[in-house]
Amino acid sequence: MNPEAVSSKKDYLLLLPSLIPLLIIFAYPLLRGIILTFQPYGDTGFTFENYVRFFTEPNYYMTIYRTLLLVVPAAVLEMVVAFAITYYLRGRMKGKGLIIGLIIFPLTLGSILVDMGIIAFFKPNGWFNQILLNLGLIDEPLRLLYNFWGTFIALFILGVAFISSNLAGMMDSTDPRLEQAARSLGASEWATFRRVFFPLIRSNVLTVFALNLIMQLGVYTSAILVGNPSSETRTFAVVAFEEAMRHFNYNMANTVAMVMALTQLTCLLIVFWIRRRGYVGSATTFK
Amino acid sequence: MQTSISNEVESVLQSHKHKYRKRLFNYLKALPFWLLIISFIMIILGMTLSVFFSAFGTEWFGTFLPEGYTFEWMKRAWVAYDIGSYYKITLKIVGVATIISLILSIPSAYVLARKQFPFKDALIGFYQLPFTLPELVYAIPIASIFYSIGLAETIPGLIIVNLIIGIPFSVFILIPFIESLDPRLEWAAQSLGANKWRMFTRIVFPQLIPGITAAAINIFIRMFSTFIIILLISGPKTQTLPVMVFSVLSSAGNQPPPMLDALALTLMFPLLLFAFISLWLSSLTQRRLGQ
Repeated sequence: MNPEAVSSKKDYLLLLPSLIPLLIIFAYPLLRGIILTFQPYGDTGFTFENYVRFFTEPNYYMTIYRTLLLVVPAAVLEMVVAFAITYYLRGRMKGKGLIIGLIIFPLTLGSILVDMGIIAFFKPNGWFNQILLNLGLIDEPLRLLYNFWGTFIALFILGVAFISSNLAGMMDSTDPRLEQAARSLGASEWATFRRVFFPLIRSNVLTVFALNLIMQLGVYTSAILVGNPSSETRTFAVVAFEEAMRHFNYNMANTVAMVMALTQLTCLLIVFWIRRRGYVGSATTFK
Repeated sequence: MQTSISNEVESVLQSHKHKYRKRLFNYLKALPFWLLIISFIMIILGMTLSVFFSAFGTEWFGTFLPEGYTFEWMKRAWVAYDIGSYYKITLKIVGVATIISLILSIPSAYVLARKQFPFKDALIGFYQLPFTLPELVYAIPIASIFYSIGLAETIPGLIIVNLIIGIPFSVFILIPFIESLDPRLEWAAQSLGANKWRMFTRIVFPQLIPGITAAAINIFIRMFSTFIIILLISGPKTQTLPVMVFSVLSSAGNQPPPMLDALALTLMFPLLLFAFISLWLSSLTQRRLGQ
């Protein structure tokens, strides 16, 4: 007897308990949110007014520039640092698990606690400035809090942790015999890295980079707690929350959120366009 | 004879020198990497310890270590922010949401793991949407709907929004567990006359206990940290611990910093506990599923 014949159309009803709640509390609000952006404040109808306002008033359109200026350099720096760390920790070595664990630790704590740590560690009389002053590297404490740099440091720490957690496994996924072959044919270490190892891992690296970038474009807590949300770190999320919680203008708040989503999509498409122009495939050979 | 020996000695010395140089060169090459790793870890440890010293220190201003140690700030923060009650509320909201998510997602996970049907990929894509879309895009309209129908700032409202994360997440965790079950047991039960319900409760469910436990712990942790959407619809008395901590910190005008650090630590303890539990869980899961 074919066991599949036992199954009936009725089985698909089992999908409904999860599907119906999700349609009601997720899909419906999502569609409604898109409609909200095309309606005037607290009214029905159809208008492009919200988008026109976004792209004509500096209070709104500057958020695109400010968010990108903060997040893109941070994301690039995070990628470089996390790549260097995980590349060096490739293969088997003593204490690797502990080192990776410590580097990923900020992810466990989350944004709020990282922000508190930054306030306690980087404040003018905190350890960071004390150490630099005692070493004679600086004459007066660096001002790293409640401005651009506070949020930048928070993004950097969480980003390095996130990218490292993803790359640590990928670094060991390439077949070491490919590199051995290159070395045995007389390639230098640098040439092997540039011509053999990096092309194999490149597509994975770009995927992780894109994920991290779109995650960080939605930065909110760090922009509020250690940044300066009224000017330098006025990101998309800050403006959207302001509109929703202070002015109760959900139409405009959602317009800001939509522009944020479109910015994220654009970044994603750019990274994937770059990714497509190189080798996209598995880094392991068939064994 | 003499010369040959001296030559030998010479060549040995030479090779030693060469080896030594090569080793030195390797150390120098590794140096920047180690500097990077050590300084990053130092910053993380420094940040964590600073918060601890601040919360448990009596007086800490401009010196390297605090003057003395005390539990005073912890006690004061606990009373001032009524942390005990927020622990209770958070446990209630997230616990109930976990149970509801599991009940609703087990049947669906079973169908998705066992059956092939048209548009299955599209359906899986739909379940992935809550993780792939930026939270703000659906959080804002939900807030506007909830405020208009009076669900905002209530415990049921907070439980309902947690399901958006809980249901799809537990579906995805359960699928591999169900795939690893032997379907022949189910066919055997049916051939012996068990109806669907009995087959499910007697055969599938008992085997799924580990998977359900894994899913429960995972979605509990995930929902505990859900932030943006809770922040938008929570009121002063009905909010989860992370949102309460953030609200206090973002409006902290004249609070003493050690008090705020003590508050942050009350959030750190559950998160550290979760980290250990999920480490233990992932090693257990890997052994069970044989990955």
